[in-house]
Amino acid sequence: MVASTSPALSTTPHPRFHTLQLTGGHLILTLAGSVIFLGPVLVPAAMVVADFMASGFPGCTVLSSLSSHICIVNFGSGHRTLDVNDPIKTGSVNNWSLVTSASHWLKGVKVVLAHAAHVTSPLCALKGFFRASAAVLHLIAEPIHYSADATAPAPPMPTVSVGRDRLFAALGKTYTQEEFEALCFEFGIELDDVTTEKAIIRKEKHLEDDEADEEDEEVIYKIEVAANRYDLLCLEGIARALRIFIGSEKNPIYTISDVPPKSILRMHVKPETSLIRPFVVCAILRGIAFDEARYNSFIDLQDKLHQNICRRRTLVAIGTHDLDTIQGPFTYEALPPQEINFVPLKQVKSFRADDLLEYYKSDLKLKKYLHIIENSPVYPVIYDSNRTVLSLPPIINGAHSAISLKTKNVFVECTATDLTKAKIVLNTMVTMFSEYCENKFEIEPIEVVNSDGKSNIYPDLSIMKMEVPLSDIVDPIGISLDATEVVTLLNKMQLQAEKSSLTGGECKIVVSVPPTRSDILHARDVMEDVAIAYGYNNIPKSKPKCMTTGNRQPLNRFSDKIRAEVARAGYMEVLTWILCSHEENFAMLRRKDDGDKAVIISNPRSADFEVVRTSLMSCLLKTLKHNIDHPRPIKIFEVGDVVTLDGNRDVGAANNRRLAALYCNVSSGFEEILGLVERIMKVVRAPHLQISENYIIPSNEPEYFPNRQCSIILNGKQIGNFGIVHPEVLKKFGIPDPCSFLEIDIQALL
Amino acid sequence: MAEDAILGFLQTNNEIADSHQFAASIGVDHTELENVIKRLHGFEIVEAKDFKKDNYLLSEEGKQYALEGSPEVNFFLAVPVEGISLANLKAKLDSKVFSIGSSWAKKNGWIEIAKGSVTRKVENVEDKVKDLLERIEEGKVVDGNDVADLSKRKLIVKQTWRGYTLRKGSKYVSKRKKAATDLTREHLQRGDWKDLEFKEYNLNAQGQPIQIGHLQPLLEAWDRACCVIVVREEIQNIFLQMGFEEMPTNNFVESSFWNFDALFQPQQHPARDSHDTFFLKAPSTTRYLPEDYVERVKCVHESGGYGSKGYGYDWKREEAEKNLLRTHTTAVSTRMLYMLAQQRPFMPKRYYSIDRVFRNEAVDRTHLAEFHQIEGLICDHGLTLGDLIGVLEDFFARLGMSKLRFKPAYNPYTEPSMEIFSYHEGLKKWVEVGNSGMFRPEMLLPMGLPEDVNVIAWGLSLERPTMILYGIDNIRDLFGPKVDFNLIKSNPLCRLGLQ
Repeated sequence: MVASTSPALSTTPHPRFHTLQLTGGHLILTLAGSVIFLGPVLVPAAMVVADFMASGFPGCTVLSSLSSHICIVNFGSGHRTLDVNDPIKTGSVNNWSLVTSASHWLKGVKVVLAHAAHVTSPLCALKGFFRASAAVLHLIAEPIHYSADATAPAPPMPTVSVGRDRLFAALGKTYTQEEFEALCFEFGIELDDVTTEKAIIRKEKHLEDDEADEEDEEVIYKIEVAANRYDLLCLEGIARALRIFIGSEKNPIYTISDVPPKSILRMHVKPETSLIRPFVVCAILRGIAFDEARYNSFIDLQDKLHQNICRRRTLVAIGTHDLDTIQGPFTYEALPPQEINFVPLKQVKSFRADDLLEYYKSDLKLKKYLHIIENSPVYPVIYDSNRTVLSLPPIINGAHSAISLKTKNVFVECTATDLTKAKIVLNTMVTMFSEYCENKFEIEPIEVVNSDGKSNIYPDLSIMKMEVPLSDIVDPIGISLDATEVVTLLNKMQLQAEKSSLTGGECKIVVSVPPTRSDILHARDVMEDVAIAYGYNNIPKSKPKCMTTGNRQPLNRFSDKIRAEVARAGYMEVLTWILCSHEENFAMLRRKDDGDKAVIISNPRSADFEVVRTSLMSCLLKTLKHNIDHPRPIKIFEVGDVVTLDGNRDVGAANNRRLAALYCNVSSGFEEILGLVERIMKVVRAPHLQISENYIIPSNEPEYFPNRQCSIILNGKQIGNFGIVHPEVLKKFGIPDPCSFLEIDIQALL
Repeated sequence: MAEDAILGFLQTNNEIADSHQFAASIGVDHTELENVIKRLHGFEIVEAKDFKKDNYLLSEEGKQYALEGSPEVNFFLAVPVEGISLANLKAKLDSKVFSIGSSWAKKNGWIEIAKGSVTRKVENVEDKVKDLLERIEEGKVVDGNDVADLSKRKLIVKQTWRGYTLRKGSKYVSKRKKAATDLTREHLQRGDWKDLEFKEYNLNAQGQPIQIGHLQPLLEAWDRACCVIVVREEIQNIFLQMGFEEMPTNNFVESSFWNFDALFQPQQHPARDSHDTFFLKAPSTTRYLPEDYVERVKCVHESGGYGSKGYGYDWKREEAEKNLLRTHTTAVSTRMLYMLAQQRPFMPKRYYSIDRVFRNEAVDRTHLAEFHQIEGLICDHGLTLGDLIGVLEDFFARLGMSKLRFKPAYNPYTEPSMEIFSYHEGLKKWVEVGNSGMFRPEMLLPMGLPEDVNVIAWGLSLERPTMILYGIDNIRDLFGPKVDFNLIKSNPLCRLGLQ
C-alpha cells in the first residue's frame, strides 16, 4: 500500500530513456531539451502548467488533464547536471521546484524518465515519447480514483481479490455484477474493481492491453472489506458470511478435536523469548484437501493478515508447516543469531541467521521486516524435536517443513508481541480453512507450555456469550422489533442468538459470538449487526427533538468581518497551506530558527511539510510567485492561523489568527499597505477603546527592507508588522517586482 | 492643422502633386502628414494615390564638401601659381584633403606632380562637385551621370520615399466635423456637446476589467448550472439554521490522547502509523492530561468495562502523550464532549466545525496533506440511528442532495457506522459524500456522560463535495499556493438558497 521510502530506483532499460546515477548518495540527473517525467507519484499539475508557460506552450491545460503522471519540462539547450539533493544551486525557480518534486517522485518504486534532447516543443517530445514507449501508455491509462478516505479518518480498507466464478460457486448462486454490487452494499462490503489475473500481471509489467485474449481469463473481483473483519479477508470467509446473510447456510460450529492428553502435541516456550517476541499460539489442520485455488487462498490470507491486524508482522507473524515432515514436541526459543543455522524457504543452502538477514537486505519483499528483530541480541526461532528449524519468525520459514499442494496436515504457529491479536489471527486461519478438513470445522489443538510450567490449549475457540436487553438493541436503532425478529436478523450476521429463557421482566437476547467475530466488543456491536441485517435504508427517519440554538465562535465571526473589509479594499483572498518547508519559514525570509517558536514535524513525507508556519509571508509569496504573470498591481490577502510554541497550553503550542496582505507592483506600494493598516485599525476600534495615534513605530525585522518597515503596537504590545519586503527575500521566492506586506495578529484586535 | 491645410488647399486647387513638397511647404513632418492622409483617405474625403520617388541625401562627407568645397578644388587652390614642393603642400593641407584632393585634381588634369613638386596645369577651376551637392541638398534635379559619380564617391545616398498625390475624394468637405469619443467635463462646461458628433460605439468591445476583491472559492459558495456547489459559508449557514453551535477548532497541535485514545482508537491502529499522521519533534509530547479520565480510558482499552470486553492489550501512556497535528476535528469534538460531561445537569447540544486537518499523505490530484473537515454532532438522551438518518437527510437536502442511501462501514469510534452516498444527477451514479455514525459507548461513558446519552455524528471533507459538484478533478486547484487567480476571479455568484 505504501511504497518503501528507500530509494529503490528502477529505470526502464529502453535506450532513449535517460538514466540516473547515484554518486555518493546524491542523485544526479543529466538533462537537456524537453524532459518527460513519469512517476507513480502524481505530478503537481500547476507545476506542469508553470513550466509550459515558461516554454511558451499554450496547451498545458490539455496536457495536464491528459494524465497527471506526466510532466514535461523544457530545460533549454545544453546539458545541465542537476544534483537532486541540492536543488537550490540549479538555477531558475521553475527548475528548482521541478527537481524538488522529481526527487520526491524518485522515492517511489517506478520512475520513468524519458529524454528528447533534440526537441524543443514539449508536444513533439510527448508524441515521440508515446512512440518510444508502449509501457507508458499503461501508466497513462490508469484511472484516477476519487478516494473516499479524505472524508473521514478511517484507515484505508483492506481489499481482497477473489475469483468471480469460484465465489459464485461457493455462494451456490450466480449474480449479475449489479446484483452482486447491491448485495455487497447491503452487507457493508464493496465491489471495488473487476479485473483479470492477467490484467493485473500486465499492469505490473507495463505491457500493452491488446496482447490479451480476453475470453479465457478468469474474472477477479476486488472486494473491499471492513478493517476489523479479519474473517472476511479470504474467499472462504466472504462466501461463508454472504451465504449466512442470504440464508442459504446456518452458522457453523467450530470444534476442537478430541485428542487424548497423552498424544496432544506440545510447544515448549523458552524464557528468552520474552526478550524479543514472547507469545506463540499453534493449531493443526488435519486432513486438509488443497487444490491450487484453495492453496493460493491459504497463502493470500496469511499475507492479508500480516498486512492488517499483524501490523506488517510486528504484532503477529504466521508460519505454516507440513506436519508430516516435522516431529513434535516443538520448542519456541530465542537464540543468538550465530547459533541458528537452517535452509530457509526458497533456498537450497544453509544460512546462519545473521548472514541470512544480511542476505535479505536486498530482498524487496522481506527487507521491510528485518528491522523487527535485526538489533536484538537474540532471534526467535521454532525447532522440532530433531532440531529442525520450522521458522525464524517473523522473517521466514524453513525450507524443510514447507507446505505444498500435497500437504495433508498443516501445523500453524503464530508468534507475537500481542497475545490477543495472536489468538485472533490463529482463529481466523483455522476457522477459515478447517472448511477443507476431513472433519469439517474441526481443529486439532496444541498445548503451549510456558517456561513457568503453566500451559494453555490453543486454538481458543470459546464462544463469547452476551446477554443483551432487547431494548438496548432496538431502541438506539429507532425501530420496534420483537425478540424473535431480532434473533432471525442476528443469525443472518453469524451471531447465534436466542431469546433468554428468563420469564417476566425485561426481554433479553442471548448472543453467542463465534471465534470468527473478534470485532464484537459490546452490545452496541450486536445492535449494529441487527441494523445492518434490518437494512440501514429501511430504518424509519426521525428528527432529534432537542432544542438548541445556533451560535458561532466570536473569533471566526470577527475573522469573517475582517475578511470582508479587506476584500472590499480590493484585495483577493487566497487560502494556503499551513505546512511549509523549514527553509521557506526561516532562511528564505532571512530569519533564524531559534528553536523557541516553530512547531517542527518529526516525520515529514517531503520537504514541503517540515514545519507549521509561524508567519503567513512565505505562503503569500509562494502564491504570488505562482501567479506572477497576473496583471499588476497584484493585491492578495489571507486570514489564517499560524502556530507557535506556547508553554501555557497542555500540548505546548497554540494557534494564532493572522491577517496578511501583499501588494505587488512596479513600485513598492508601501503607502497602499499603510493605507490598509490605517483602515483596519479604524474599523476594528471599539467605541470605548482609544487606540493611540502613534500605534506605528519603526521596526528592524530581517524580512523587511531597512527604513521601510514598521511595527503595529496595541496596548504596548507588538501585534503586527508591515513594510517593503526585503529584496533578498523576493529573490529567494523568485519575485521580480517590489512588494509590500502586512501581517497582523487579529486575535489581539478582537 | 495638417488636415485643415490639406482640405483648404484642395478647396482651391485641383490636386496636391507631391505630399513631400506639401509637407515641407506647410512645415510639418511627412510622417505626421501621412497619418492624416491615410485617415482622410479611409473616410473617402480625399483620394490618395501613392508613388515612389527616389531621393538623394548627402552623406556626412557630402555635407562637408557642400560646405567647404571639394577636396580637389581646395587642393588646387592651395597650389600657388609658382608651384610648391609636395612636402610643403602636405604640411599646409588637411591629410584627407591632401590625399583625396591630389588624386582627383590629378585625374581632372588640373595639376602636375613631378620630382617632388606640384604645379598648376590650368589657371582656374570650377567646383562642380560642390555645386552639384548644393543642388541636391536643395532638392533640385541633377543629371543622372553626375548622380552616379557622386554615389560612387559615397557623397550622396539614395532614399526611396513614398509620397502621395492627393485629389478631392467622393465625400470631400472643406472642414470635417470631429466625432467625439467620450463625453467630458469640458464638453459640459463649453456646452459644445450639442454640436458634437459622437463616434459610434463598438458594443462588441470588452469592458474595462473592474477592480474587485475576491474571496477564495472554498470560503464562499458557488453554483453552476444544475448542481449546487457547497462551500464553507453556506454549510456554516445550514448548521446555524439547524441550531448547531460552532466548536473552537483553532488548535492544530493535539495530543494522541485527544486525537485517538479518547476516541477508543487502539494504539496499534494503522491511522496512528507515522506514515499516516504527522508527529512532532517540537513540542514532542503533551504536558498534562486529565488524570482520572486517562485512567478510565486506559482501562477501557485494556480490559473494557461499561459492557465492553476492550481490546486486550497493554495501553501505553507514552503513546498517548505523543503530540501530532490533528488528523480530524473529532479531536475537538472529543474535548467538547468531555467538557459537556463535566457539566451538571446534562444539557443536549448540537455542535459543528469546519476546519483544517492534516494527513501525512503523498499529495496528488485527489489527496492533500491538509484539507478541511466538516463535522456535525448531536448529543442527547435516547438519540437513535433513525434520528441520524433524519438529520443527514435534512442537512444534505439543504446542500441540494436529496437522494441519499447508507452503507454499513467500519470506524473505530463509531458503532454503528454508515457511509453516506448521494445520487449525483449529473454523473448518474451514487457518490460517497461522507461518513457518519453513533459514538461508541466505550468513548462516551469514560467521559462521564449519562448512560442513556447517545451522540450521533457525521463528517465529510469540504473539498470532496466541492470537487464532485464543481466538476474539478484536481484538488490542488481548490486551495494552496498553486491556485490560479483567474480561477478565483471567474467564480460565478452563489445562488444557493435563491432558487
